[in-house]
Amino acid sequence: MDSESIYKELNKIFKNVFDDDNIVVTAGTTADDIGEWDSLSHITLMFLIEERFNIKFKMKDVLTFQNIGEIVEYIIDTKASEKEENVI
Amino acid sequence: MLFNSMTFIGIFLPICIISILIAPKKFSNFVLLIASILFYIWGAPKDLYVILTVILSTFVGALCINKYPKYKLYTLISVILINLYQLFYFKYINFIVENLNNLFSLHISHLNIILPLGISFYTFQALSYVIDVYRGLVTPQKNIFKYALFVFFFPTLIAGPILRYTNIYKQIDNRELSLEKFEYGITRFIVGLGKKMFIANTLGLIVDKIFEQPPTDFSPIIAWLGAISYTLQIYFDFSGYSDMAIGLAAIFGFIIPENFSYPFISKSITEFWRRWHISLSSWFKDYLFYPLIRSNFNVWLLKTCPLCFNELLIYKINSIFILLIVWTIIGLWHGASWTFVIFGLYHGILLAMELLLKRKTKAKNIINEILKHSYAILAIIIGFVIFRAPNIFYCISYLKNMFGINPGQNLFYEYPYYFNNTDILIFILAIFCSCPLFAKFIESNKDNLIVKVFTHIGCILLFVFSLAIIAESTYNSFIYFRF
Repeated sequence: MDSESIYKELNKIFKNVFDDDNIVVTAGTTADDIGEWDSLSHITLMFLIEERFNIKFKMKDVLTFQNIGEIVEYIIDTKASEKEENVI
Repeated sequence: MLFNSMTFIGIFLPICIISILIAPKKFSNFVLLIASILFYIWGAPKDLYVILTVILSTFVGALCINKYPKYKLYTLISVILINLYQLFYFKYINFIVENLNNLFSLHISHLNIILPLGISFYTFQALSYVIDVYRGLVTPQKNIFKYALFVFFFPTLIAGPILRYTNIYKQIDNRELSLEKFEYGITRFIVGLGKKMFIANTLGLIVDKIFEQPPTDFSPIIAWLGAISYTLQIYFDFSGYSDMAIGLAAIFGFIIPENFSYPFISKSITEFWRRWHISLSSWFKDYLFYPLIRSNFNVWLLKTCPLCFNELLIYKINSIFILLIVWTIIGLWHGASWTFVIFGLYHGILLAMELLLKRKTKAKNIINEILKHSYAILAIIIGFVIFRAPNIFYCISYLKNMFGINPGQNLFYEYPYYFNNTDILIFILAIFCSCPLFAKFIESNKDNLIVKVFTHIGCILLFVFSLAIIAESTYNSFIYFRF
């Protein structure tokens, strides 16, 4: 999956969770940038992202993602290693 | 040992500070550890084995989790069970016995158990360490003395703030003592001491007098004054203790997180818990709420639920379920009594309601803000009546009195019986000090010479008068010591 389509999907999820069509996330977006982002919306975001990209976050990841860029990196890395496994 | 005692302020603390200053830097952790152990033993020598169990089990457990990752889940569960069992035994066994007796008309006798000082705090602190190691957030500490310092750390040992190893371990290895931190620490300590000795203790005497009587024996006005006084008392008591803890930590070079942030300016209960006993609510969020919500069972529950209607609503309802469970447990953490359970559940229900009714924030309208603030204050006060009441029946009777149902008689000699002139002054001072105006003023003018002089003199006076009160007072234990 390429980074652009990942951001497209993430934007859809964020617009949905925060009920705001104006939200656009970038690599540097953090929880501080979106006022409504609290622990409950964080949990919901994690679930929706996992579901959409068919991945599973570890608790460590859920607690330590600093910004959207790290989430995107994680998604790309997971998908890449999945592809490798399938090839092998 | 108590922070607000002559022994601590006059003997223990000065000796500690001098020892740290003269000892070579590589021994300062050791000095602090010895001091902390002495601090603990002074209060309760017999309970040493309890805290040692906590330290050893979590220390060894963390090393095993790291060395044998194949069995890490079993190791973690064993360590958690050992520590929770210990906590449960000391804290709740008599509560269970009482309830069994009441439920089944049995006559099981109570066990002669005294709650070890600080057990609720240091157990949770140690568990957070072993869980963080399990999660891969931090590597285990190989030096048992450094780890023991983390758990025994006397500023926070007895009543928090509950520290996270991830915040502290770097400071254990490397911290600087500085005149700036020292000055800040001493000031913070004196402020905390003043909060406790002047405000909390004074209000405490009033509150005790009121809550000793049946609620039908005093008027609704006294009931309200009692409720508000208790809310202020517990805030100044506990935040005062936290101030002293933070101040002491700073004196020894440690920066630890805040535990309170002007909770009474909150405009919702959600905001309140971000400002009150912060280390506790964030502990439960990270170590109970998140694990429950992301547990395999809960994920399965979410997946098997029919998603024919709004998906976000399903997540919300699921969160609320877990929230209510977690908050009931938070209530129970405070003590072995149904009033604490109801206190927790009460706050959980309010948080759930606020979650359901959450709307996108539009432009702030002052009437709205005042209404929200009033709702929050009211909800907080009612919560603390539940917290303070000796039992559920008293609580209901008291709340009824507050709201004019079965009000107590209005006796003309009531007010001077409960409040004298000094008390009224302290009451007003308490309300004033619980908002950030004064602190903000000092902060924004801190370079002003006059402000500096006045704050220094103020601190000295506060300290001297606090010592005077300590020397002659009898009512002195912290509320949260019981936890």
